[in-house]
Amino acid sequence: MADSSGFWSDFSDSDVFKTLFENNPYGALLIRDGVFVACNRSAARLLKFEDPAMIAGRKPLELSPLVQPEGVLSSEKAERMITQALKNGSAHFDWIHRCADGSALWVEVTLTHLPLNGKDYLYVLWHDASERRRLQEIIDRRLQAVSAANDGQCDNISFYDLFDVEYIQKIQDAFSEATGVASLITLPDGTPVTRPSKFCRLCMDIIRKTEKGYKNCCHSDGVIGRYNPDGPIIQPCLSGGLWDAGSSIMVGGRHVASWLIGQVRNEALDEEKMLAYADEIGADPVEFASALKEVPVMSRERFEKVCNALYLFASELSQKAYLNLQQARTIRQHQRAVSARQESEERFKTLFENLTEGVALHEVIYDGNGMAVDYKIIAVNPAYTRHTGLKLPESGEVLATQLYKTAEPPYLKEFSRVASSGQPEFFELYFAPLSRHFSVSVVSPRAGQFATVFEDITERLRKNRELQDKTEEMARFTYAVSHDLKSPLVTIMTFLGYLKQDIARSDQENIDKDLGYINKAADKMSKLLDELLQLSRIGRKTNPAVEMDIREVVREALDMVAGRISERAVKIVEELPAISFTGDRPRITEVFQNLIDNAVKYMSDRSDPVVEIGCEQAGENLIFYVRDNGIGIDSRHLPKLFGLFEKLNPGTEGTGIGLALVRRIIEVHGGSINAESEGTGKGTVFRFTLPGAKIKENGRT
Amino acid sequence: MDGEPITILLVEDDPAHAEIVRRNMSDFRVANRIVHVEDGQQALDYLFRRENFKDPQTSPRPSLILLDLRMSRVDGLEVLRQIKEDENLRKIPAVVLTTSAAEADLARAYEYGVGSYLVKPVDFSKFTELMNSFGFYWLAWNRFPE
Repeated sequence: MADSSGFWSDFSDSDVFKTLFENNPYGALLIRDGVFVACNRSAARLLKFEDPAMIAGRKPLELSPLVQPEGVLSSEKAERMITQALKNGSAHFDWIHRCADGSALWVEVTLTHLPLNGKDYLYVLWHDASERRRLQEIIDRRLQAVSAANDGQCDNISFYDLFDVEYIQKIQDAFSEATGVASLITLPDGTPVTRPSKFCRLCMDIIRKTEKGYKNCCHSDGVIGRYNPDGPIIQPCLSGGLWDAGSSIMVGGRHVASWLIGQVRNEALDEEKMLAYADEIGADPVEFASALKEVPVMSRERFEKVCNALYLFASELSQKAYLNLQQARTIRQHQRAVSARQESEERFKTLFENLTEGVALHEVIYDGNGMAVDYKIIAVNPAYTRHTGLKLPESGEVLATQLYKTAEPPYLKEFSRVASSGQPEFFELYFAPLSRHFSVSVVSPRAGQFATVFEDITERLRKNRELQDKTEEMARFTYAVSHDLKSPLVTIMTFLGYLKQDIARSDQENIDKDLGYINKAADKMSKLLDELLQLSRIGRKTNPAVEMDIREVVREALDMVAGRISERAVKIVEELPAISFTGDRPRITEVFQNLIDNAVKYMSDRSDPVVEIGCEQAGENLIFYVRDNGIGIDSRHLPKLFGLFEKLNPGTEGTGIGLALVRRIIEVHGGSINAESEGTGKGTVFRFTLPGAKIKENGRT
Repeated sequence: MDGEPITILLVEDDPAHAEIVRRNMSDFRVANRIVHVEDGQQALDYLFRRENFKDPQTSPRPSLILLDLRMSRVDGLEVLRQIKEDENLRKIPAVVLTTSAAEADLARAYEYGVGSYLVKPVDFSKFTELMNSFGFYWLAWNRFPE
């Protein structure tokens, strides 16, 4: 303070200046001969000193870190700025100071040269740049985050993902070896990643072994390793005398590690201060002193150079890691895309192979005028073959006209419309080449191509039709019942009326007639009711399925109609082998009985009546037949033949239930029946199947 | 009551019902002019002069057709349809006499141009009364074309 007193007299209007200087809301200082000679309250407050007087007499560099944010040494920059101010009258720059509590103070400095009384004064005016700096940092980080594509992918990445620790260890060891400084890489939280290189005994075995010393060291490591994009952080360690520095390793805007170096001492080391520290942390002072001597000595300039090298190394590592990361990410994305594609192909293939619907991919063939003329089948799935029974040739492709053996490609117009419009369509169509009905979804995967996804609905349509038939039959049934039961009732009631009259008139002839009609009608009614009951039982109440020999069943049936056969002298030709069948035996007997009875009944008066009963093998199935040479059936009446209450011959005594019954029994057993006749007078043949019926070989199945 | 002698074609597959018609008509002394055929097929053969009905002497053109509906082979409705499609036969009035009171039968019958639709009553006196009214109407009062 002493040598700075009395300078105010150098100012011609010193009081005015002093007032302005001291009350300036901005920090203001005066430098002469490289030393602060005055400091106002604002400046002291910013530097966190209680009294401005405490600053006077200090060198600016004492209140600054070793290196300025842009990575240059504070001493170098200071010299440059001063030269500039002296030369140009003023200099304007950013500066970082170290406050009394060790925190950093960012200021915007205006340095003005004041040549007064032959002395060079430098007037320092500060504007607090911390806020500006803070905002700038946020923007920088954000920019970096955006430009580094820090799309959350770095968040989960640790140091270990990015670096091979052993390799990093080698670099770190080599760095320490070359520079002579101790070195360690830690995670941002201070956890060591590498093994320490060239750690001195003082730090390793003495200071860090004490509780307080270790705590201080970790704190120190954390401070110097903190995020600092502008350059290495250099500062004396808390031990008081050793230099430490650190550089952060940033990847994709994220602080993944800190590279710390240090444990070197200045030539001018305050040994007393160090020993005081030993005392403070409770270390053995003798041991401490001897270890201190082992600490490498390094000039400040040299350490700064090492720091700069470290900074470059760390930046390079960051860069490299980032490139690795990006590359890894690109590779991963690519792999993901490839595996996604493979997966989707796999999925599609599985779907294609296992779909119950048939799938076929086609390409439309166009003529010179762009008219669709044919299409070829490019690929089909197994279900296609199942549904159509068709296989693609070895070559894998085939024209529709060839595959389906048609002159015109089936549904060319509809399919090519989809291939050109790209609009999916749905059809239910009859595919004539295969004689089957299909529901077909047609889609176009690309222009000129179409895929058909189809299902065979022949069976479904057949069942629908069957159901419709059944419903109609049901309606016909109720109608028929009401009519056919009412009809004999009308007869009975009416002839009872006549009977009364005829009895009153004693008209015996008519009485007999009346009674005859009444009898017949009552009989008919009773028979009708019996058969209706029988019909309603089929499908509901069946006899237990038993194995039977059809030949025996036929013989039984023949026995039952033996009377009528002999009465009309019908010749029976029965040519059946032993046939096994499992089903409702009484019902099957009824089938043959009904058919034989019918054949005999409608024999007309021919002289050589014959009824043939036999079977023919047709593929898997046996087809049974009952053939007669009787009156035959007009082909117009064939469709009505098996309908309920349908009678072809008005004169005969049937109820019109017999053949309906026969059909029901056969259908319940899974078979079908039809009748053929070449016309009136040409006989009739009934053919039917009973699935599961097998000719016994040598008397065995 | 000085009705012209006319021929009625009775199409009825139930002999008992044919007998009922015949007995009722005998009161109108037209019984011998009732030609009875047993189903639709025979009716068509008769009307179109086919098979056994080729001779106009033995198979004269009827003035009235009395038709049952539910019959074997060809039913009454089909007979009506074919009659009404024929230029010549469509002039013959046709009356349905059936046990069926089904709405569908009734509608179809009129669709095919039937002149009247009569349902056979189960009650004796009603049936007799119906046949009497029928006889009076068609045989006494009604005038047929030449």
